[in-house]
Amino acid sequence: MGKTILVVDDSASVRQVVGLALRGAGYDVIEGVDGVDALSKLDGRKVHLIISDVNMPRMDGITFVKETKKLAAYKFTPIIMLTTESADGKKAEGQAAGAKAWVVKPFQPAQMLAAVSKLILP
Amino acid sequence: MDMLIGLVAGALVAGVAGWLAGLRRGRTAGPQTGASGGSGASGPVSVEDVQAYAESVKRLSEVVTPVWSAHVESSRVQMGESINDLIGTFGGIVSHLNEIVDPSREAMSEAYRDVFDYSRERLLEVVGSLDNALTAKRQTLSELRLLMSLNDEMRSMTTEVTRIAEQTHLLALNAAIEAARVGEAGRAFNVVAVEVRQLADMSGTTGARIGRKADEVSTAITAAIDMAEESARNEDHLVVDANEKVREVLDDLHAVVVGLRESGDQLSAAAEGVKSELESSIVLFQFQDRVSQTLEHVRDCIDALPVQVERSLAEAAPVPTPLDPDGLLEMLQSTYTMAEEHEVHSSGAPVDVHDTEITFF
Repeated sequence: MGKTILVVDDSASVRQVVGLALRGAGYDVIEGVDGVDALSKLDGRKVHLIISDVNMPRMDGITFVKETKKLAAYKFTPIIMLTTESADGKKAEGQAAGAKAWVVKPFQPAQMLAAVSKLILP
Repeated sequence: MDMLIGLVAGALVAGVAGWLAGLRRGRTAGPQTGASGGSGASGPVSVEDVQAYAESVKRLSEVVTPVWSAHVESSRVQMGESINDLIGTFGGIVSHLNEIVDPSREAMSEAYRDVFDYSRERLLEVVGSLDNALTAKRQTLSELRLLMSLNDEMRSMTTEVTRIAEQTHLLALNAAIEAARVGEAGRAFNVVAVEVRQLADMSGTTGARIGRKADEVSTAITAAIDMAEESARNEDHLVVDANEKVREVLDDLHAVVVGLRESGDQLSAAAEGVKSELESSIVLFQFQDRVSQTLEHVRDCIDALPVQVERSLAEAAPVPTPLDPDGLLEMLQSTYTMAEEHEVHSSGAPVDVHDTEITFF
């Protein structure tokens, strides 16, 4: 059974592109359209890594990371922020919230997969 | 397109604000020319003129900017939906290529190998059966030759028996003559001699009959051997021919299998290339997310213009306060998330998209 990655982005195209890259590498992918939707997907199932956008409706990515870290089952799940945001201030917010990496779009699949491979839970 | 709309909106805001500022100066400094006022007529500007112009600006903001905004939003949504569909279609093709090509390459090779191996085994079984039949026939031929040899020995023995019978007959005849010469005393011996001679005659006759039968058997065996040898020679040719034909069929089959395998490999390589190209193309569709965000920011800025115009007209009636293009630009800038947006904002020219940037914490 492959490892599961939760991809959170309000852009369907980004979810599809990321999903294709991850599935092509053998990962199982579940999707969330924003922070609220993504939290509903953290229902106890095993999630080995989360990739989240920052700017999303209803609940932004930074808040989503903070909420995820409050969940005992997902406290140590590594989170990669995948965003168009490149401002240092935003990166610092992501780091403070508990994110493990910050990837500025557009991403290259090889680099993204290398980051995933480096951070994903065993 | 988004940048163009942004520039047009910015220019309009700046133009209107400048014109209104000019009007304000005109109210205190005297009449303005058409060149600076933009009314197209020289002479003093009345409050009614200003109010009429302000009303037109208000109408512009109420009527035109929503259309701009709607066009931007419509374009953004259409692009998003189309790109999503394209990614879905491309992704489906990649998925189908993964499902069809990868297993088929293995399965095809397996199937080719299985068919070839099965055919070779069956054909070799047929040739083996022919070989076995020929071997059995050679054994039969060998037995026939042995039988022929035994029959020859038997014929020789019958000749010997005939010769012994003749000698016995001659001895019995001599014994009978000797018995007759001794008279009465030899009568009983003569009876024995006659019986011996009869037995010798019978032995000779039987030996002759056995000899004839042996000759017949010999003739039959010779005919059988001739037929068996002819048949074996024919079957030898048949087996050699069958072996040759089987080898040719197997060679042809092997060539077909190799050809199919090579075609399959070429097809797989081509499919891999197509898949790789498609995957690379899909990655490029990320531009939609960036362009969509930029369009959203421009749309929000356009939507803010009517609000600012409304406020300008409401705050200082009957003469409006100047618009705030700098504030509008600041608002636009505050919505930027991408470094490229800031660069375009400051340079006013298109810029290249930055490479992927990864920071580990």
